[in-house]
Amino acid sequence: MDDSKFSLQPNTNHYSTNAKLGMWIFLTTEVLFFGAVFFLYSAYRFTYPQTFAVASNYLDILLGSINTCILLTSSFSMACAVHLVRLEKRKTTILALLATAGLGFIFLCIKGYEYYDKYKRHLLPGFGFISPKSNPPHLKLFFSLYLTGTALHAVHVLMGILIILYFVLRMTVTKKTFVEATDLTGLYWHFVDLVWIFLFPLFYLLGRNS
Amino acid sequence: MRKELTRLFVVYLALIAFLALTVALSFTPSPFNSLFGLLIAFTKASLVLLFFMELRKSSNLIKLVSTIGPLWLLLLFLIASLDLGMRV
Repeated sequence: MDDSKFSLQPNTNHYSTNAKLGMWIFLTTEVLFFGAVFFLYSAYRFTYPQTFAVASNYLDILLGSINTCILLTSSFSMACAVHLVRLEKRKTTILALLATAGLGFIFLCIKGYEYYDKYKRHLLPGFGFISPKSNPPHLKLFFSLYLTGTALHAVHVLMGILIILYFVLRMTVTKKTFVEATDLTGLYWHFVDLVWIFLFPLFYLLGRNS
Repeated sequence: MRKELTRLFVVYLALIAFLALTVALSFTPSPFNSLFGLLIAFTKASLVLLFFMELRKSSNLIKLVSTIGPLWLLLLFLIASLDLGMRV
């Protein structure tokens, strides 16, 4: 198990291949977890293509795009944090981590607003869903999948924020850097970003040209 | 240090450019919009995996483990699609 290719920085002795391997195996289970939602989506989309194209137009593409931009930016700040922590730059690492958590929080606020907007328009399954009359049937299917997919993703974002804040707190109190913990948290955060990269075109960008 | 941060920033700019492209393409009248959207999503995912998650610098073992998940997912999609496609 030669991991020498991985580390460019002087802190190679901190690094454990085992921990990284464990994180990647955990992420593999997460791929399958979200994979089930993606498959369900594909199956229904091929069965009811018209409904999905119409339903997609009920989602706010501007808010969706802003949220994608926010999450990509947070991934960038997380990658910077991982780089900085290896150089033992504790303060700038904490700043980069706080920026990541802050962007994640803004993402959740926008998502929350979107849910509230759908709730007001009776488009949230389980919370008084009423299908608009002029629309094709099975509209509820699309919104059920939208709610399941994005809510599961939002829970992951929330977990990521809490983990980041926990390590920021520990770095502040102990005045030490946590290279491995930051690195593994980074992997998790980037994975959450990856899921959104696929959720965004599948739910928000359908049927915009019709 | 600066070189690595610059590289990360360039990747970030590319990701934002791909986001703008995918949104713009979704409004053009073409039957392949969804396909383009997915292709761009895969490109963005590759950038995140290779540069932000540092797969390109990782050991072969990590590279192997990272491909297992998508492979199982592909199998799930193929077999379950066969079932769906053959239902009468």
